[in-house]
Amino acid sequence: MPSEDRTAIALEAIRPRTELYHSAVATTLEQVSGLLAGTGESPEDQSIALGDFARGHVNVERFSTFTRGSAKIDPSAEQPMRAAQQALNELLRKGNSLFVLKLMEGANLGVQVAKRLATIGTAFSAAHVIELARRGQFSEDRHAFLLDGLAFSDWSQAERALAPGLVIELDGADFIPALVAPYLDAGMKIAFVVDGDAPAAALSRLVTPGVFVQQTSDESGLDAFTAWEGTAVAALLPKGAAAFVHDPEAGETTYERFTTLELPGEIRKRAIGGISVFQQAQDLQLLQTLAVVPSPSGEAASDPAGKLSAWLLSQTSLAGDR
Amino acid sequence: MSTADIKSVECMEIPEHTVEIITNSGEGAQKCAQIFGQTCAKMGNGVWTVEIIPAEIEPPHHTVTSTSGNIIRFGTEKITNWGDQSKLAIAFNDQVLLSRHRLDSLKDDCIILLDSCWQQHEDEEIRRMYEEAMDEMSTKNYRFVLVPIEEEALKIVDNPSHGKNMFALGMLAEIYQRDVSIIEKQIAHIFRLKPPKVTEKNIELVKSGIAWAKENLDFQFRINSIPFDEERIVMNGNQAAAIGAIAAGMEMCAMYPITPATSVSHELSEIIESYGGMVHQAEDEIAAAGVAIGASYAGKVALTVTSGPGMALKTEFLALAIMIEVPLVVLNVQRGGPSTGLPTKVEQSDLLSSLFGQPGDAPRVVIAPRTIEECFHAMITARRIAETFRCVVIVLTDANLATGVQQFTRPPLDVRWQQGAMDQSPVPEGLRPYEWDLETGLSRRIIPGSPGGQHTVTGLAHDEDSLVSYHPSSNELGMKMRSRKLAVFQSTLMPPELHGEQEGDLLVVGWGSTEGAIVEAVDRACSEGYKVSTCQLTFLSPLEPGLKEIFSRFKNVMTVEINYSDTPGDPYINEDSRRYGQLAWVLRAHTLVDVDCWTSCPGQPLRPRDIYTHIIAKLEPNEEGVAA
Repeated sequence: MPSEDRTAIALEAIRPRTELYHSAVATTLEQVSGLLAGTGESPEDQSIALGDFARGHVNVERFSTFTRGSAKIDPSAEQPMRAAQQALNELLRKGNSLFVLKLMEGANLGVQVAKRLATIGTAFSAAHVIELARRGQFSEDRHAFLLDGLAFSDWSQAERALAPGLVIELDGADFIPALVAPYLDAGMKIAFVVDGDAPAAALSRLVTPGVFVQQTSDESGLDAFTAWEGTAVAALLPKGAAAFVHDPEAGETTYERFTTLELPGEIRKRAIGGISVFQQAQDLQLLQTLAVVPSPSGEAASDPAGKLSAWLLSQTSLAGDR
Repeated sequence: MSTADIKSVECMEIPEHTVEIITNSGEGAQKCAQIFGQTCAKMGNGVWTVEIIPAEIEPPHHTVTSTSGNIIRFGTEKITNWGDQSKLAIAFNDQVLLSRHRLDSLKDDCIILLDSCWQQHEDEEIRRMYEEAMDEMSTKNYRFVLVPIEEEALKIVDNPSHGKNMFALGMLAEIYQRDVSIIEKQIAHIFRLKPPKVTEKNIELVKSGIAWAKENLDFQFRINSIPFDEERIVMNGNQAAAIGAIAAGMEMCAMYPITPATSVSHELSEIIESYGGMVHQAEDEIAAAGVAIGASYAGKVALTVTSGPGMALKTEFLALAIMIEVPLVVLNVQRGGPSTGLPTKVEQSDLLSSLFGQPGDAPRVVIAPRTIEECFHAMITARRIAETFRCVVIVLTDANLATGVQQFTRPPLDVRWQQGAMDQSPVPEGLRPYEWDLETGLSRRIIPGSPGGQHTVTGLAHDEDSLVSYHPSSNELGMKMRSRKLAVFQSTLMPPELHGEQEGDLLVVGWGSTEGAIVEAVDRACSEGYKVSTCQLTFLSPLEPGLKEIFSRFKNVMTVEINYSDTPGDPYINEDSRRYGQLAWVLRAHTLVDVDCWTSCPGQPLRPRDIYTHIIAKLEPNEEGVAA
């Protein structure tokens, strides 16, 4: 399947998150637009603000004589609010392209993800700017930089919960998923779309008890990734890679949480980009360590874990090749 | 009483019907009814549902006290209350059915689909109970149809308690010609967080119920719907209030779980964070009020949600909110009282405690939505009033609104509902936290985080600087200013509108959720030539203006309420000793008019027929001059 199609599938898989983010941005934008438009002043505004429950019961014109015109903003707040409004509009204009990172060959995955998330975080810093401006506390010197982006490390927990997720298109040689580990928090969802030769089990390095991890060559299988409400990472790989699902809800122990485990028929015994054969073998051994059912004798038990163990033994010639 | 002979199918076109699904607690009657009610509403029918829930989590099964169920009244036109009696019932056993019979909930010719497994049950005691129940019910002309509900469910699931409800839903779908695709979508939605096989099994059970009904029942009903252009939504009052709170821009809800209010916070907690807000479950009711007050003091738009006993616990903190003039919305979903009373049942129990529940003079606004739709809109108005007048606004709904489901036009959301009402610009030097306008009692709300806005607050008597002051004039001034705000707000209110003629023999006054039943009863009386009108109050503190003048146009004024009042003619009850319904007390004091009342507190909503009966009794008293 062409990578564009797989990207569309991955994007669809994170759609609940992207919709949540877009909705939050749109709401903030409406609020700042309302403030800038000076709503709250006209009789119609007053009537609507008071709500339908008051209709026929409250004389809105009289009621509005007691409101304090509190929606008025100080003239000094207008410039930063307009800048924040522009930043939010810019984010919305980008549409779904905001959530798709196409990694140039050889680029550093970690650095590029950090940059894109900072751009996404502009939505949150714009909200901060609006609040500061409303309170008359905005200072050009101290706060203007906020509209240049907000690093993920500076996002609050509530903001992290609104993270839209990312789809990352990249070449197999650049597929070093451990570089995104710092961003796997508070419901973040990252889906890799990998082209070309790729390490067979690189995603195994991201398996932690509370993170849903899925590696697959079957694009139709991302439903569980989408449905999982916590932090999740998935990779759509070319045929021939290992396929597995680590579902945090499937069991208490690590091996119980592996609900799917399919191994490649064979592994190419050569480095992929900067990823050596030894490192690839380590990925697979890690998968074995995590997924194999421990038996009382200390040996690996039956399928699929037993199968994995036997397969790994067949790959022993990899051991010294670094 | 007869067992059905199954022949050719007769389909009757009718304007409305009322259906009951009655089961042991835990057998899924609510889920069955929710899906059926939602399906009817989505097909364009008017709908009103009422839950029957035992207060105990798991009462003993197969007893009259274990009844759990739901009543769904639906029709071609808009439905505003649960009606008089049910015309069709699905009962999973004889004992739960008997409980409904004893409450006179079933129409004399009610069609009853009863599980057939009890008649020949292996347990002799169960057979004996069955026979006694059927004997007791033989005084009515019910039409019994014995249905192998459990037997059919067991063909699909191992535990029939987890399947009979969907089989029953299938029968209802066939009897009322419901759109099965809507039912399937509802099931998929309800079980969306479960494995797909759960949805599949439930749909299979529904189809099994449809097939059984198609093959064995000789009757069907068609209830048409009126096409509509606007978008409609279907929800219960707690959902409507929760979504209304978000639409109103409320940022924080502090609560402690209490029936029947808890589902408001469930609904909020699912979505409020997406809108920048949060739900805080405090360690108790008192703390929940404290957290909400603290959030409001800090500049947030805060809400606390509770029910009667929780309201009692919050008493002192609500007085603090009134004393320090922080805007606060309190949603009180009323249930039966006093004490823990009737946790799952309805009562308009908290009007007086909401109005007067604090020591000293503690003026606050109290409003009461009349419909599920108004539960949504009331939250928006409550926020605006609270912030404009720096006051506490109590929204009084009840268990009837909270759990009933109604269809209404989707409100066009408006950002102006959410617009920050706070002025957070730097506080001018010298401006004091309570710099009251001596005419209106209003003062600027100062947020402590605003530049120059730092100040402390105290529940003790204080002066304009928010400093503790026991000086007589300070205390008098504070009292006057807090009360003045209420008078100012009252000056913005308009006289209530009447339903019916502007003068006559009797004016029935209600409040809150009873409107639909009262209007139906009044219309019935009017159609028989009686000169009766009604007026449903929504603003209870301060009261809407002009009541005394309106009352003067009627020979009699009577409140109808779901709460307790003494019945004239009862032992020791005379003019001196009689205690009135809660609104009646307030109206008598407020207007000096001899307002009478008919109230009832059966733990369930009032029925139009009962109100009608008491309207007639008021107009045509018996020989002792006492209403029947």
